[in-house]
Amino acid sequence: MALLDVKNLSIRFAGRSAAEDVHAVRGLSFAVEAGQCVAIVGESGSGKSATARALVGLAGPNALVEADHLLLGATNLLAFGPRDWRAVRGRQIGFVLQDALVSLDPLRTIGAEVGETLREHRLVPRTGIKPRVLELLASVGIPDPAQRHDQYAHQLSGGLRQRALIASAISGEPGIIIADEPTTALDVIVQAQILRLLSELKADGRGLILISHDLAVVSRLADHIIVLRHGEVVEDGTPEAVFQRPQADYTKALLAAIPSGRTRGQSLSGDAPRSAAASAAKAAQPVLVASGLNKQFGQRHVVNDVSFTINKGETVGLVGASGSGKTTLARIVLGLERPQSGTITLNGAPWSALPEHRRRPLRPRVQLVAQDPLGSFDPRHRVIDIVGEALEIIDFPAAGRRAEILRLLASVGLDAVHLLRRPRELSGGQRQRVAIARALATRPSVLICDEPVSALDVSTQAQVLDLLAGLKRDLELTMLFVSHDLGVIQHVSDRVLVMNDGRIVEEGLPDIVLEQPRHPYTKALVEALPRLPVG
Amino acid sequence: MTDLSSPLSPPENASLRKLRRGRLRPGIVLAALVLAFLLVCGLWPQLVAPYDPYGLDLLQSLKPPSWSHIFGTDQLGRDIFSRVVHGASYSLYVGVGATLIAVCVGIAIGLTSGVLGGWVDLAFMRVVDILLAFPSLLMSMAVVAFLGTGITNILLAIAIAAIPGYARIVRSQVLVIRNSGFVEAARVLGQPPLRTLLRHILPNTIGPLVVLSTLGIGSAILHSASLSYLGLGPKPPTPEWGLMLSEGQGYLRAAWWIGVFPGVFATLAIISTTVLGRYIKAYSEGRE
Repeated sequence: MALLDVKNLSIRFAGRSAAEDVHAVRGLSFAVEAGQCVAIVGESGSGKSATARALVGLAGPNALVEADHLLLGATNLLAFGPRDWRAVRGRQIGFVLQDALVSLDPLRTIGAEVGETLREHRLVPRTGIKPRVLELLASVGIPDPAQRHDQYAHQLSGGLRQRALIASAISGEPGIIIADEPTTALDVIVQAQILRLLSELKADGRGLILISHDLAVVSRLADHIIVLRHGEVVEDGTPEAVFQRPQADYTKALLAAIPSGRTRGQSLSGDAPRSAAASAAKAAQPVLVASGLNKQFGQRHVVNDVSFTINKGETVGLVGASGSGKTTLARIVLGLERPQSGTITLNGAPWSALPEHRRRPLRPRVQLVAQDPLGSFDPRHRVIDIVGEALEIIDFPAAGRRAEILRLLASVGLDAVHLLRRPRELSGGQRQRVAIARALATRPSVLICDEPVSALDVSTQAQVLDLLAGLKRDLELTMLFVSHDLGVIQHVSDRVLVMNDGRIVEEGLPDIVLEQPRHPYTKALVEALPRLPVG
Repeated sequence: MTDLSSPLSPPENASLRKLRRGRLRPGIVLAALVLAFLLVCGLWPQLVAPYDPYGLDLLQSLKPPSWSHIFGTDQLGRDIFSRVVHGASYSLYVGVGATLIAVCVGIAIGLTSGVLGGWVDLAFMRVVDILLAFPSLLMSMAVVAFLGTGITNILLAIAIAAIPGYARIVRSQVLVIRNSGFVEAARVLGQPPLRTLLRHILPNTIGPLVVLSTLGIGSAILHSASLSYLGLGPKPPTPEWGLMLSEGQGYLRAAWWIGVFPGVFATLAIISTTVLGRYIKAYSEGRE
């Protein structure tokens, strides 16, 4: 018998009238067997998290959960009240939450958090709690559990926090574990470790429900993949079937939208096929030259003797895990941080050494597309003000400003409809387009893209990457592209810099660096990258 | 592949937002009506008041509420209702005037402190700390003792007592905005700092403050009534609510209406500005 059997599940959030009801999920059916993993994949708004929450009775007071049946073993979960759910949660179904930083109580020790289920369900005698917690911490691979037991969440790294959450989820020996985006906030190497831990739990005979936006992440673990879109199941099958012979157009588009080395020079969103690699084979003309950059914050050497060159029309990818110093390096290049030693020159003239008042007139030449476009716009301003401000700074004649704004918006795929919108009224992809339009308004010599697609869904990411590729070709853009995502870096870069602990550890063509890495760190990074089993 | 180009916005946000909007609770409508009435009283008292607030009529003294004098008359035969109506202008004058001054000076101090930082910030904030250490009513009394009594001096006293709080709020708001992504974006564009200050920092600071100041008007009215009650405000026979309250105190057994009605009006004014202020605050934060 299946551990959990879901038949025709639908989740509805009640509106004021039946017409305003929001159908988060419709007609979802699956069964979880012992030692099996069901993956539910979808973009934001697909209903995947609503499903996860409904399965532990946390769908919320205004959610209507209906199903033909919802069976946990032989128990009917549909008839459950809050008390019944409390007996199930932690004991029969373990729930691993998404964000380890906010999901752990900052005022309680890790030991107290992990021991919570043991105490609540009175699973072991009071004196047995601590030894059991230490055992659990060790079993999820937390080194030195005795020390960690008494520490607080903020003293642990992201990976350790996620492990602690998993330890807490398995503490009641549940038969089923639901993990909602368990690796989203982690970098690739830690992500690979967490995925390995989850696969061990699966091998122990637990049923696993994995919720993710990332097809590549689930491909390693899943025995059954369900692709959701707007609450409807669009694809449902074994990994082989989903990856090799996807049935729905949406799944095909999703698979095609994942950037990697193979997709370089190709369109990801499938809008217009493009001719590849026209920019190569030109005499190298250095635009930005950095030499011997150093930056220390207290004892930490965040940027350590970094030198590189960016040539005209070239995209240099900067890849590294969180904490590797890549964001600080980008801020030095932008002139927002001053290096302690070393210099950056721009078109042969000094840049980093200039005092602020002399750099200010030159600032339009180095522009930024940030990770969080919403935060980089004044919330009171409309799109026309946001782009217009950049034109005002380069003294663009006021008479032609509106036309120029429209031209810039058109170049990023927006039109006059968006002129009067405020940032909050735009979708994530549209916001990033506005950010790109603003950055291009000053006709910069170098464009710094700091994780520009990290906050976006795969399909939106594909559109933005395609847009940048098109602009690069048409305008001969020179770019420094910072990302933690090897696939994205491999897709966009002409040359790659790999950064670790403040140093550039490897540099070269993306195919060579990322297909045949030499430095141990690059090797670890590449091995940890989840890959799709597509031919 | 047309599927991918359509925006993937979750529909739930829109309907939730619709649910929250357009729901006016009766308490808020009532508060707005009371304030509107007081505003008319304050601006055009002769439209509302049936008698001269200073007009003596000793034959009609100490009459209880009746159809000809709905709030009754005082010991000198003056119509209480007319006096209460005329009193609205003093309260509104002090409430709005003191808040306006306090907000403007508070912005100036908070902005200077937050933008310049360093020793300027340190100096301003220590002074603010010292001023905040005194209860604001005590503070106002000290200022009145220094400036002398009278309605305008009360206004200044209340304004001075309220400045430190506003300065604090503005400063912390400035510190948040100064480190925001859009101020950094302006810097990357090469915008001169003064323009960034005027275009991004100042407007984003004032917004929340305007909301907060509506709450401040209520407490300014309360303070002005308290100071007048203590005899630090205008002199008799001015129809000021706090003063009328203290004058009516001696007759509380014989003629309760002399003291009670000015008190009721002051309470109504304070409650309705506070209710409305809270509503505006909640609305601007997206809670209503």
